[in-house]
Parts: sequence; structure tokens; C-alpha cells
Amino acid sequence: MEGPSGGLVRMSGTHAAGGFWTRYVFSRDHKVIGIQYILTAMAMGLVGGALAAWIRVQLAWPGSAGISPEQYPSLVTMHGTLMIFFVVSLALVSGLGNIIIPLQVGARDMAYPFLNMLSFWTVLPACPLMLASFFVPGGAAAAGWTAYPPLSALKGAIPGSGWGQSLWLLAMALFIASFTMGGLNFVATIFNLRARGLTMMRLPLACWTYLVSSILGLLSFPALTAAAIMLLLDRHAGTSFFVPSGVVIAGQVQAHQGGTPLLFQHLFWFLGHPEVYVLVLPALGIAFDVIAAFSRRPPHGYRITVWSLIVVAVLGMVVWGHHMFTSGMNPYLGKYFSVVTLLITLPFAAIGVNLVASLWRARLRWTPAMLWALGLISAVGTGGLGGVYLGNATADLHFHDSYFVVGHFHFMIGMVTLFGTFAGIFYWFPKLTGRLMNERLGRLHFWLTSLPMFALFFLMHLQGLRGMMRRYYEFSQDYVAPVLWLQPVLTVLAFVVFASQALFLINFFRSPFRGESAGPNPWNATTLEWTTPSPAPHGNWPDETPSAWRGPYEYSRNGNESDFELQSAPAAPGVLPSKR
Amino acid sequence: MGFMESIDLSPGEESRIRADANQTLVAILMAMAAMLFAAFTASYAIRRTSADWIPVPFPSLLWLNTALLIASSGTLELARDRPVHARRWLRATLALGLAFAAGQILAWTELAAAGAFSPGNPHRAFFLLLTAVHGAHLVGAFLACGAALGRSRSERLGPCAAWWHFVGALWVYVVIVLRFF
Amino acid sequence: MDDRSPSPLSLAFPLALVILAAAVVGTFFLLDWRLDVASEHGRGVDQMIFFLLVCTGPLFVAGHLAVAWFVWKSRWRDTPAYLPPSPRAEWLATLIPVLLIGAVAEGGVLAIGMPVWGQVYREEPDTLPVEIVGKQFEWIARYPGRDGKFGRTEPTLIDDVENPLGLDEDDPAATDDIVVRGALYLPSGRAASIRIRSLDVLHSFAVPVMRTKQDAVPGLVTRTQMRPTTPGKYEITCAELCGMGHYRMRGYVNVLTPEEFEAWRARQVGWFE
Ligand code: HEM
Ligand SMILES: [Cu+2]
Ligand SMILES: [Cu+2]
Repeated sequence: MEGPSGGLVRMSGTHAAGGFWTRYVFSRDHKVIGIQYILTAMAMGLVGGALAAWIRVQLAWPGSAGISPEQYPSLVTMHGTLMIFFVVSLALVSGLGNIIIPLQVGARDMAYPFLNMLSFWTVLPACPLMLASFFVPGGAAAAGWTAYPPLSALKGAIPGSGWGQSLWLLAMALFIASFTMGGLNFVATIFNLRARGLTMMRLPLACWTYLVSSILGLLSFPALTAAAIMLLLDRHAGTSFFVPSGVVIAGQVQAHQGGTPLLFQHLFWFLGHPEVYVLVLPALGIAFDVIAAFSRRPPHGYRITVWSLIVVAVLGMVVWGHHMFTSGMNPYLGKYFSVVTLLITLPFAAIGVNLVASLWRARLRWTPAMLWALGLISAVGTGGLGGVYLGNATADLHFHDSYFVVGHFHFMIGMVTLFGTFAGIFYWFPKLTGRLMNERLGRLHFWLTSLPMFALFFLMHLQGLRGMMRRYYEFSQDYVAPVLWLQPVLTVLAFVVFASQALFLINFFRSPFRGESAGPNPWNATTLEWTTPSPAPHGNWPDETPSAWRGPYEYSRNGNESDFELQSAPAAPGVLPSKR
Repeated sequence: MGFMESIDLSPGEESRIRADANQTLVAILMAMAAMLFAAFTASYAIRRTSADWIPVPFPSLLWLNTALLIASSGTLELARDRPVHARRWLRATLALGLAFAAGQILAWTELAAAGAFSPGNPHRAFFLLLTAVHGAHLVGAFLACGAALGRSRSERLGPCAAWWHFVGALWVYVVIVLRFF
Repeated sequence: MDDRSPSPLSLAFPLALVILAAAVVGTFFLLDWRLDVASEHGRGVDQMIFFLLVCTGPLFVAGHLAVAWFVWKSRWRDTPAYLPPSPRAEWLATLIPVLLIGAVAEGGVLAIGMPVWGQVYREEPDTLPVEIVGKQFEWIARYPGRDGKFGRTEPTLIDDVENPLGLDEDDPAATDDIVVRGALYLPSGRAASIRIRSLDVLHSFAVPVMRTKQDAVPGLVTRTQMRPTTPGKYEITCAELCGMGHYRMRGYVNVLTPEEFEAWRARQVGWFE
């Protein structure tokens, strides 16, 4: 059966509701909302990427980019903030999460469709708000994406700490509100709207990672909320939660008294560390699903992976101090945070090893989605090993705030998340549009993005080993001179990465109209979303929703005629779907 | 491992699923609010060790407010117990809640008159912060229970009652922190 | 989708992985990333990093080769040959590499890392007390003078030229304090106990060649310790974003021989002398 194909968000089927506005703009359909998120993230990604390119010009040829030392911290801050919260969070978590979750659990929509719509319309105004800060007096926020006070609390400390920082806080408040609404929906949907027979241990790994990631995010964002409220009060109400006594800015003794800057750091990283798992885990889940479909075998160690995810999340909430080894925190706490942080390598490595082992005895199909998933394995392995250096308090004495850190986190929250996003978009694109994306363009995009990105961020590690510091406008220090010749090389690589995204954009916007039509199950995959026509209609299934009769990855079972078995295929006539 | 067991639903159980989802929602919201107040409490504990910490006198009106809020939880339970009189008891609950809110505002003005809005004193800042954030959670409780009142059937009070009680417990926690630490 | 004729990617992809792994290892030998080290604990930090490089390097290569190998093998398989492993085999396949990585990570930090961490943070008996103060965008060093005591400072007394640290003239302990802008003088071979302060926002006192890094936090005195081994002039940088001049917040650590250091100290006069 083949659904009607057409525009990006064209709906079909009996449940189509309302006219143009309620269908495409104020839609409550999770698929439309997911696409809205992804389009928003793309727009913000263009800005964030352009900022990165601009920063790189300054770093390669200081002074030639028209950036002043006052502006540089703003550009870095906005690049980081946009990329983390308005690109990766929106595209990978809110966007793909919305698309995948109801379809994979066999639900007609999210548990709270109206809340879902509200969530998107809350974060949308945050985007212009955040970008507007470039045009206010003093320019955009400049205290880093971490917004450490006193720099972010005192207007005179840096130009961007005036209006820019206020707008930053406002936009972040909207983001947090939106992300919370989204997360609540994800969790309620996965817990309560699963199809008959879809036990937790039959849940596809993508859903599992969204579940763990959402719960982790929901439990850790309140700490940032608290910190942001107190920072706002320090800035505008004259309180002193974070600003200590006797701070002298430009010869003026500030009125604040008695606050503790380290308190903000603790609260910030209580969110900040879990946040990286919130972003990275869904990318891993998508990789598991994609690899299973294109290697025609179940992922290695499903149960081990599930339990590892849970352990990663639990440990992830008690290791935030590894960002503060040199902060002046008690050195004994430093030891604790180091040992516990490195414990996370165990479950995390288990997930990574399972990804690799899932390729054992595979029969690969070389789709672009598979290329991205395989590239993700390399990125997560390399980034993960970098984490072993940074979680080590002693080594961190050298690496803290250096380009080693910049390289490491770009591997994890830059490459892993983007690779996962691209894999996901290629893989589920037919389910949304009824058409396939172009494979040749997809492959070209993969090679032109992944290899330069790897080189770019890997070389940053070496600059960091040499001791090159991050957030520097230029490098006049003698000791880094031997690695400075790399700067133009990295900039050229960055431009290749930036430019090659055009290939993706062309593919993404052309394929809904020109792509090859896809049947309901173009990949011969097993999970429930492939039981409905493509594009999936409003309400997801034209008639009854499916039940799950078996595990999510029944590929290449011996003795079976076809090499896959849909999750909804009854085991035998008359047998009820039940536990495995 | 309860949540990992099989769920076996017969078709047409929409409303049960909805109730379950509401329960999930409220449980997570509670956990989030608990995390938020844990973050504030940690900040409070760190901030109070500094030299400029001068405890603000605790307005005695707040004891009355506390009593009102606890009483409102009682009437809410009565509403749940007696479906016939549910709406009456629900109205009583909302009235008690409103009285609490009015009392809070009164206590604020009292403090304002005593100069509490001068930002210098950290204990006062926390006082305002915690009561205000608690107030925001109370608004949620009003909305949930008000909606229950608006609906014709009040049997499905579970999630909104849970939130109401939680907000009450949160208040007792706030009082303990502000008064005794 | 035709599964019968192997895609050129099943050759290109493993090849790319092998080349990538080789290139990564190669750059370590070709690029000049090695930085001199001039402090005792710095050698320990380097040993820690060296241990990690030596252990994680092979893991990195092995991981990439494993993926390349599995992908390469899939080239010849055109019938479903997958047999689910026994749960035991499944566990073992995961557990062994995981324990290896865990042992590298935890073993490294416990056996090599922690003793070095201790060298930096334990209080040693015969240390040289010095203070380094960060302000936008400058490092200022202070020595306690003959009385061995740091005098009182007061933010209201700060004057960028006359009294950059806001030393209190009325405090007898402050009179003989030695203040040096932009440079820290230390004797080699003796551990310096460095107290770190900030006058305004966060900074981080970083001496890359010493492998020393400790934040300067307003309202707090933080502490670090280092024993310079080699006389020379080493750059101080700032490792915590502190404003628009962060990148040019520089200074020097001048490590002198003990005799030179005593001679230098004898030449200094107190701030109010
Ligand atoms: C081609 C792509 C990219 C390039 C060339 C690039 C480049 C850079 C550079 C050079 C810096 C450091 C600037 C400095 O410290 O002076 C930086 C910082 C950062 N980048 Fe990227 N980046 C890219 C993509 C991404 C992506 C996809 C993310 C996703 C999360 C990201 C997140 C960040 C963050 C969080 C920071 C830190 C900002 C801060 O220090 O406050 N970047 N980027
Ligand atoms: Cu972290
Ligand atoms: Cu700085």
C-alpha cells in the first residue's frame, strides 16, 4: 500500500483535521510539530554555523574578520548557546523525538497534543529574542554559554553583560519552559501510550534513549532554572546570591555583598553535565535503530544497553563537579568527582562496544543513514576516549579550558549529535513525506562533512595538548607558537564543513517533491512506524493502531522466509501479544 | 520492576490511559519541583554561612496561613471521599487556598512595610524568593482543581489532589527552612 | 536495493577508517604538541597524560580496526548468517573491552593521578608563601615581606596606579609587603604555596609550562602549590573568560636559582617603605 506523496508536511487519511492553519501552522500533529522544530533548528543552525565560520576567520587571520576584542566573546557565547539549545536540542531531541516516539510506540499522537503545540510556540519567539541581542546596546551576551557570574551579573564587567545578557536569560527561560513541556510529553507518551504488547523490553532503543534523556533533562533543568532566577535577581533586583563583597569593576566598588560565584557553577553544571547526555543519548539510540535496519541483525546486547543507559543517567547526575576541578572547590571533592566520573566510562563503553559489536556478521546496506550511523561510532569512540583524559582531575590541570576541551565537546555534542540527527532524518524522511532522499547527494554530504569535521576537531585536541586556551581572541603567547600554523588549516576545514551543508539543504528541500516514492516500509525495518503508509496520515494509522507481538529487532531469524519480521506480525493465529 | 511488566490494554480504554498519563505527568512535575526547591535549599545553606546573614523575623501570620493550607488538604480529601458533596468540598478547598494566598500577600506587605524589599539582606531575599516560587506552584494547583470543579464529574480528582497536597507539603518545607534554619 | 554486488562503499569505508586511524597516530608523531615542563608536579601531570595516550591510543586504533574489519567482512555475506549469541557470550563480548577501558580510566587516576593531585594540594612545611591576584586584565604578585605576613587589603583603597591591591597602610603587616605587577619570581627547587585572589570577576591563574591552573575567585582565596625545577622565564595566561581582554591577560613566572632569588628579594622594598 502506498500513501499519496507530495509536500513536506502533506497529510492524508481519514483523520486529517482542519484547514491550512490548523494543519501546518498551529498543528497539534506530532509529525508536523517535529518538522517545525527541525526547520527552526536549521535556520538557527545557519546562524550558529556562520558564527563559527566567522570566529574561525578571526582565529586564522587575526584582525581580518572585522571582529573586535569586545565582540569576540559575544560571538563565541552566541555560537555555543545557539548550537546547544537552539540547534541540537531542537533538531535532535524536540524535533526527531516528536517524529519518532508516537510512531514507534504505536500511538496516534503525543499524550498531550496541545501542550506539544504550546511547547513549539514557546520556543519559537525565543529564537528572534536571542538573535535580537546582537543589535542591542553592548551587543549579545558575552559571558560564555556557561554565563558564569560575576561576569554575567555585573553590567560593567563586559559590554554584553548589559541588555544582551538579559535577553539571553529571557530566551533561555522560554527555551527551558518549552523543553520541559516537550519532555513531559515524551515521558507520558512512552510510559502510558504504548501499543498493546509493547512491553518496555520490546521498546526500540531510540525510544529508550529518548525516555532516559527526557527524564534526565526534566530532573536537572530545575537547577538551571533556580540559578537563572537568582542571576536575574542579582542583575536587576540588587540581591547578592552570586556576587561577593568588594568586587571592583573599572575602579568602582560594587554594592553587592556576600554572594558566592562557585554556587552558580555548581547549579549550572548540575544541569550542564546531564544536558550533554540529554543530547548525546538520543543520537546513540537512533544509531542503534539505523544500524539494526541496515546490518540486518539485532543490535548486540539490547538488555545491557538499556541498563547501561539507566546507569549512565543516574551517574550522570552526580558528576557535575568534573567541570570545576580547578575552580577552587575542595580538593577532596575533586577526587570524588574524578573517580565517579571515570566510573561512567563503564556503562558508556558498554553502549559503544555494543554499537561496534552490532556490526559483527552484518549484511550491510550502504544508505546515507547507515554511513552517518557508522561515522557516529567513530566519533563517539574518539570523543569518549577524550573524556577519559578530562575526567581525570590530574590531567585536567593541564587541559581545563584549553582547546582539548573544545575539541572533545565538539566530538560529543557537535559530531555525535549531528551525525545522529542526519542519520535520523535520512531514515525517517520517507515516513514523513512518502519519498526517499537522494542517496548520491547524501553520500557526498556525508564524506564532505564527516572527514573535515573529524580532522578539525581532532587537531584541536593537539592544540590543547600544547596548552592553547579557549575563548581567546588571538594567540600572542610564545609557548603556543608551534601549533599556530594549524589555525588556517582548521579554518579551511571549517569552511568545507559549513559549505557542504548546502548539499544537505538541497536534498532536504528537493526530495519531498522529486524523491523516489517510498512504500510503507522502504528499509524492510521491523518497528511499528513501518506498518503504516508513507507519509503517515494524521492519526498515524489509517485504521486500527498496531499491537506488538515480538521484540523490536527481529532481523535474519534462522528458518524464516524473509529476513525481517514486523513487530506487529502475530506470532501465530490466536496467540495474544504478550511478554517475550 | 513494575513499569517493565507487560501492559495489556483492551481497546476503548482511552480514559484509563488518559488518567495514567495524568498521573505520570504529576509525578514528574513533583519530582521537578522537588529538584527546584532542593537547588534553592542548597543555595540557602551555602549563602547563610556568609557574614552578612541576618535572620528576618518570621511573620506570625504565616502560621495561620499554614493552618489554612493544611485544612484545605483535608477538605480536598473529603471531596474525594464523598462524590455526592464533592463540589461543595472542592469549593471549600479553593476558598481555603484563596485565603492562604491572601494571607501570603498580607505577610508580604507587612514585610515590605518593615523594609524587607531592600535587597541587601540575603535572608529576606530568600524569603521573598521561596514564597514567590511556592506561590507560582500554588497557581498550578488552583488551575488544576478549578478545572476539576468546572467539569461535571469530579471523580477523577487523583492527579490534581496529589498536586494540591504536594504544594501544601512544599509550603511546610519552606516554613521549616525559613523559620528554623 | 541490490544486495548481491558489493557496494564500492564496503571497500571505501573500511579503508577510510584505517587511513583515519593511521593519520591520527601519525599526527602525534609529526606535530609539535609537546610542551616543556618546569615543575615537579608538572612531570607527574605529564606522566598521567602519557599513560593515557599510551593506553587509549591502542583502544582507539582497535575500535576503528574492529569496525573496519566487520564492515569489510560483510562484503562476502549474502545469506543471513546471523546466529544470536548465547547470553553468556553476549555479556563477555561487552564486558571484556569495558573492563579494559574502565581499568585504564580508574587505574590511571588512582595509581598515577591522585599522588600528583596530592602534591598540588597538600600543605607542605617549608614553602614559600606568595600571592597572585587577578584583575581585568592583569596579574599582580605579592610577597609577605620580612614579617612573613600578608597585610590587610580593602577594596575601597584600590587605586589602579597608587595602590592596585588596596593595601591598608594602617596595618603594620602591610607596610613591608612586596607588590610586583605582571611577574612572579620564584626560586627553583623550593615549593611555592600560592594563594590566589581576584579583585573583580573570575580568572584562572595558568602557567602551562608548570602544568599549573587554579581559578581566581572573587570573595575567595584559592590555593595551589608548585615546585619549579628549572630556572627560566615562563608565561602566565588566564584560563577563565574574564572579559574582552581575557586573551591578553599575561604575565611571567621568573624562576631563579635560590641564590639569585634571595638577591632579588633583598633588592625589593615594601609597598609603603
Ligand atoms: C563546523 C562546525 C563548528 C565549528 C568550526 C566550531 C568552532 C568553534 C570554535 C573555534 C569554538 C571555540 C571558540 C573559542 O573558544 O574561542 C567553538 C565553541 C563552541 N562550540 Fe563550536 N563549532 C562548530 C560546531 C558546533 C556545534 C555543532 C556545536 C553543538 C553543540 C558547537 C558548540 C560549541 C560550544 C558549546 C562552544 C563553547 C562556547 C563557549 O565557550 O561558551 N559547535 N566552536
Ligand atoms: Cu560533564
Ligand atoms: Cu581571563
